[in-house]
Amino acid sequence: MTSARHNRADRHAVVLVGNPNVGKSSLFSALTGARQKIANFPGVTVEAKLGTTRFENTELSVIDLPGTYSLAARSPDERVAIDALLGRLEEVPAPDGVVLVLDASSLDRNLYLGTQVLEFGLPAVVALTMVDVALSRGIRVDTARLSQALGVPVVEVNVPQGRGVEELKSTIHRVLHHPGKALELPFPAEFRQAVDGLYGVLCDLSVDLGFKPTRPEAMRLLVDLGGPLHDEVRQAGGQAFDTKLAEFRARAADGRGLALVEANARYGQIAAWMREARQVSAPEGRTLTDRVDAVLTHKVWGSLVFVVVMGLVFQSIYAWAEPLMNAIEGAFGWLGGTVAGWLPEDAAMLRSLVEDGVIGGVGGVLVFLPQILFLFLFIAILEDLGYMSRAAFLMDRIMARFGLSGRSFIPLLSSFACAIPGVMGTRVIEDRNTRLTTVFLAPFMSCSARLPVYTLMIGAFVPKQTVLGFLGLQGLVLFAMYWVGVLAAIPTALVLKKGILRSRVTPFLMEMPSYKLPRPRNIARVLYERGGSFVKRAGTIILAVSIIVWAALWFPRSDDITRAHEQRREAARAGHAATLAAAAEAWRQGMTGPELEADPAVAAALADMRELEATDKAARDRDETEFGHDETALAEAQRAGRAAYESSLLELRRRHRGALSPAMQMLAAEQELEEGLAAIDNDEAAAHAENSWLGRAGHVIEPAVRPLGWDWRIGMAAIASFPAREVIVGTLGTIFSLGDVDEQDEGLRGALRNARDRDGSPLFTLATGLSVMVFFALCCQCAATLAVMRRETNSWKWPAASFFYMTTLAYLGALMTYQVAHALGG
Amino acid sequence: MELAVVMVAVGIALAFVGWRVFATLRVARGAGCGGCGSCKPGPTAAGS
Repeated sequence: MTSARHNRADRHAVVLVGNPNVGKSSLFSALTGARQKIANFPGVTVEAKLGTTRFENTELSVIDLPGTYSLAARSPDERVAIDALLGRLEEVPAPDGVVLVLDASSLDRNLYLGTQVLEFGLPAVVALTMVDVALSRGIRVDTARLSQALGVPVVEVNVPQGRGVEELKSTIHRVLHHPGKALELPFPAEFRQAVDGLYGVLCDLSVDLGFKPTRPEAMRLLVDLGGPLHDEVRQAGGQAFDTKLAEFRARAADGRGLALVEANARYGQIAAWMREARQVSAPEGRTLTDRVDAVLTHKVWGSLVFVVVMGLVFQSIYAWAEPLMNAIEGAFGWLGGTVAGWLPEDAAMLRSLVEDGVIGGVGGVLVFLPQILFLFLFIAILEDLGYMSRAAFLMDRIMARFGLSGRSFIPLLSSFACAIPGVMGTRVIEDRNTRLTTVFLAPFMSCSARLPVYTLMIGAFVPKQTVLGFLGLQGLVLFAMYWVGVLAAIPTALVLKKGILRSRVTPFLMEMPSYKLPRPRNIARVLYERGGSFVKRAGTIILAVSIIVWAALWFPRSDDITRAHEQRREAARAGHAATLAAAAEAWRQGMTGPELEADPAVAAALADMRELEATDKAARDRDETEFGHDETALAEAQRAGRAAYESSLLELRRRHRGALSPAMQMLAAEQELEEGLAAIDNDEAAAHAENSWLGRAGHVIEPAVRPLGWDWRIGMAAIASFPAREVIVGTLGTIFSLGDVDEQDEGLRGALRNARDRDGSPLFTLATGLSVMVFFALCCQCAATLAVMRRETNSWKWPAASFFYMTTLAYLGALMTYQVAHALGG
Repeated sequence: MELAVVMVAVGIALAFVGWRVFATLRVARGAGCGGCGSCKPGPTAAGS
């Protein structure tokens, strides 16, 4: 009984409030131990997050709110902050107190929000962060005086060093047992009276509103028109309320802007506090950060640095990931062989499911893991350094030209990882039309799921050449692919913002965090999460789709096709036997084929011939690898190789005399039989594939995809990828493993290079590869993104419009790319 | 026996894809994330 009462009395909730990028999320993690993304970037939290911690016998729920610069309640995330403070969010408990997180190096600006929060009168503690940054700039904050001014305790906290967290917990515990006191600022009398009057009107409407309004809300309503709160009250109070509101506003403003009246009063008081509580010992000159920023955020130099940095990132992805990719490809080849060895010889269907469906599909995708990891390694390092905020600043300038603000840049930048958090991140955009435009543009950014498609096509069809002597062509094409989506998004944004989603550009306030050394743990976590997510996708949805595609490609199995090809095999073997018999007869009259094979002199000559052929092939392959990029050197090496071969052949003729001639005939017949049987195997696989359910469906859609340079197999793989685009790699892996039976050893890239169209010409050319990449760059093949768009816009209209617009654009883009590249000889 | 094993594998794959379609539609109608792992915020992600 006692225990139950004790538990009930000692369960509290506090809410963390602060500006973006003041270390709120890190503090949340330090207090609760919860795993949460910490990024050196404003706006990392767009939803309230919950965690729990204990102090002595108190269980404390901690609510992490979106970072905000004020409680102006113009955007949805600012409204979340107010609702959470007032305990009006269904998903989070009503807070018993507030932890106000303030950045010591920018106290003036942080206290603007701080004064607004303290006016709510909840028990509060100030957590003062970035004290070391402030000290490095010569700013010393007297916490005792600051505490006296604000009327709440102030605790210095340094999360990375683990300092102050326990003291903060004990202070929270202490203040929660005392009632809070609302902060009162010296606003002009007219302003105060208007707030009180409006508060009275709101209280009268409380039944219709469905909640009890507060005085700080009345102040927000007076100053900030057009936010979610204003909409709610207008619904309850109708036109009469708007008339009263206009009267109060006119009275309070006294000829000036209300926002200005509020800002003057707040900043006036903050300045007075700062004179008491803050000492600035060093003149605020240009710091190293300022000097670096002058270059990195410069219109010309900054843009140049951005292009060079990103270019280097994409170059490195190719240069460094290749050996690891080859190793994974080799491992899957070995795995395929080993697993095939375990399965019974006569279980052809099961072997095919495992080798072509599972290993061909999943293995084909996992090969790209190193490139994904390298891309995120670089981005995580750049972000941790603080560079990405500078890039956002640069882009803000450019985006304003297309009617978008820097607020749109953050969600769009997120979309390069995944469009889903990007679409969700648009909640920070207060203007509805700008928000919808940004939601619409997010899927255009090349997300990480597109990377395997690009690298597969580039690895297979773009030659390993250098441009300008130092730039790899493959890395350059990859960099260009990332721009395709951006270039398509620009006119789309222009059309939307100048047309149906017209609105004014709102100013965007963004903080430039100080440059910091990248934190290895943070980077390791990013890599673990991204890599883990990719592997999980390969092992779940990609595996499932690969198995379904395999089944659709295997069934129905036609006995007629099997029989017809078996007859062709028998005919080929009979032809081989006849060739052998003719060779035997030509060498010694009356000799049969089997007698020729058993003749010791011929067998010795045959063994030497085989060895010579193998050595010659190895030399040719070596020359190709070594001199492939230099035509003249390759021709020279090939000439030398040919001469060596002729000389060895002459030597064999001397050694084996007459026996060499039938041995050469036998070898040629053997090779002819092998090639013939392989061709029959391929023909049979192709015939079964064409007869399968997938093949039949593919033939229906083939006329639509032929102009893009695709055959039915690529078309079906693209269609199978509409729910999730990365599925295409697994699907191609399955289709081409099953369809091209002799290309297993070279992996998927090799299989694509060797794939043949019905007329025997190469199926994939550079033009086809480019066409596939452009299609994937522009198409909205992600059901999860469309679902989140529906949720965020509360309508199917936007996801439907996005899907049809992007699919049409992708088709036209791929069509144009193929036709132009094909005409240019690609 | 061989056919049975293949059928079970294909059945599980179809059920999994069906479950994902259902979960995606729930998200579209406003439900929270089902934890499928499709979306993990990247280093530049603004949100969870």
